[in-house]
Amino acid sequence: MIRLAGLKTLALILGLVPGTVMASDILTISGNEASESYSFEDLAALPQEKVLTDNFYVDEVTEFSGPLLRDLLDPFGVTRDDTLKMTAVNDFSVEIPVDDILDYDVILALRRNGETMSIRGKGPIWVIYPMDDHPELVAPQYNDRLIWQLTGIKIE
Amino acid sequence: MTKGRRKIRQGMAGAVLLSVAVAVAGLMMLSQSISEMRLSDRDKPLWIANQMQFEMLRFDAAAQDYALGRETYEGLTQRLNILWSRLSTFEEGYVADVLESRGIDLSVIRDIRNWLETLDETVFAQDVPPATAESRREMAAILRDQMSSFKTDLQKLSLSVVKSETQEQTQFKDALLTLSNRVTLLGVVAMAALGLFGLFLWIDGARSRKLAEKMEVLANHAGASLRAKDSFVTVVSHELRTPLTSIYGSIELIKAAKNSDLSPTNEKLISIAHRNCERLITLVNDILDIDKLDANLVILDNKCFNLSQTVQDAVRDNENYATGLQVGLSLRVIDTELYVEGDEVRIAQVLSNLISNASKFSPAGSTVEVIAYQNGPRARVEVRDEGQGIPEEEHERIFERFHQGSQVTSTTYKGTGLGLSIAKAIVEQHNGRIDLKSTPGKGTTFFFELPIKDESKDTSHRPASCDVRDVA
Repeated sequence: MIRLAGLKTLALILGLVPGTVMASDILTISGNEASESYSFEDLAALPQEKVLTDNFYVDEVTEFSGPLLRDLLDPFGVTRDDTLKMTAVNDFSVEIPVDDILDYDVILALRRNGETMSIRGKGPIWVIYPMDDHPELVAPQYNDRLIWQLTGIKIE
Repeated sequence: MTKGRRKIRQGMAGAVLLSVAVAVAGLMMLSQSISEMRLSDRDKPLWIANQMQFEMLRFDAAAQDYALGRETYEGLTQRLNILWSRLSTFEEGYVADVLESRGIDLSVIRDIRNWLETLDETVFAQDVPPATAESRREMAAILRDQMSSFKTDLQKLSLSVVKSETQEQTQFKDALLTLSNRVTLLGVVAMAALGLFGLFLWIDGARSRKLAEKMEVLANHAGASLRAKDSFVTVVSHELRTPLTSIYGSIELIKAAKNSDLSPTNEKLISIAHRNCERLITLVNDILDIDKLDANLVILDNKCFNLSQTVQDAVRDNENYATGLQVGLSLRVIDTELYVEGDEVRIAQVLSNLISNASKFSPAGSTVEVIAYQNGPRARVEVRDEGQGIPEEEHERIFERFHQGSQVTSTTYKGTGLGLSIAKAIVEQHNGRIDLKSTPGKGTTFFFELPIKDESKDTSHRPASCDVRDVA
């Protein structure tokens, strides 16, 4: 926590908190001949889902909140046959089957324990699976899908 | 034997269960270990360490590009932030735990953090891009120079992670091998125990089958021998006693013929035949008696009678027999009225048995004393002889069928060996008891007791059914 607080102070000093860059778009969704970009406000304006879970990259059960991925993708008409190519800020990418977001409450977490996340803190968007609610999700292949610093989703 | 076998069986069943349980536990551990290995395979700490190295290189490249004007200030700070985020993967979550548990030296990560914090406070403190190209190049040069000092340590970190991973895998493989060996061994033990158990059950089953067969044979035999005995008894009664009776009658007639012209030798032979015929008839009667008593077929002709009177009659009846053996009989009736209920003929048979027995085993010239008296609620009759006595160890067996006293040396007096056994059966049918006391060398006292019908001795209360006879 002290570490996190320190990070936040630094981020504030450096003006790197999402608040100062809110005006810009942070996520682009494309596919099915459509493309849409979202700012932090756009995403925060959607209904927010809370997920309480532990995972491979945190030390204890943590509260994450953000829009449900399936709500966000609903206008794009995704089907179970589709695959989502999730890309991070440093061009790292993973593929997620649409089944995941339809079967589970997968969220694009915007907040961790109520606080927004900087790039330094794996933000501003971190894909979170409700692993504690579904023991079957506690598996290596799902760990890989917890992509942070998410910038793009491509429906394929 | 059976208990021991049951214990062995229980032990074997226990062994089988135990080895199966241990094998299952072992397999569960195995699957746990394998799933852990899968986990560490996918999210290797090595991958995280390499990503750190990679991110440092990308920051270095970004600094170089920034110096050359090919990268923006925002692009540079973006890489700085991503580098920051990489640090956190060493500091929290599963990989942090794994690295700590393996005792990996993470000082380089701490050094990088310190360096990044310093950068935040110095180079990037204003968060304003340098104004000139010159100062931009200067800044990039400082960054790249400072960064290069971590290169070796980061490589070392990757190397030690690789090493620890190899070690971990070797250990895991060893553990896996040991475990699988143990499971195999346990399996073999379990199979062996199961096999033994099965064999044991089979042997047991075979044995009990054999036993059942034996029992059936025995039961058949028992049935057969029962039938054989029945037919034997029939043979004895009809085929033996009938001719015996006629032989006996003929001999009696010959003996009775006073004016026979038998020579003294023939007369002696007739006497022997007469005596042996008597013995045979006694034996046959005894056998028939004991058989009936055994089968509870004797119907007692129960009446109330004065035992003292019966004793008196019995002594008189046996006097001739005793005299023949040169033994005197003395009678002592202490209580003249000893009313009991029962079959007087049978009780007389008992008395006759005891008196003749006592006479037989008494030395010539001695006296057999018969005493009748009331002993509490019971009427007691004692028959005392002055014979050589019966050893203590024979007391119990003396009432057994065909038992002959070990002291009997003279075949002359040999009885059928059934008399006492018949006496005991009769007395017990009358709810009485029969026993003996003996002092070796001095004599034996046989006695029996029967419940007194009227304890009061008051004749007015005597049961009406009692046939009152005066004691002469």
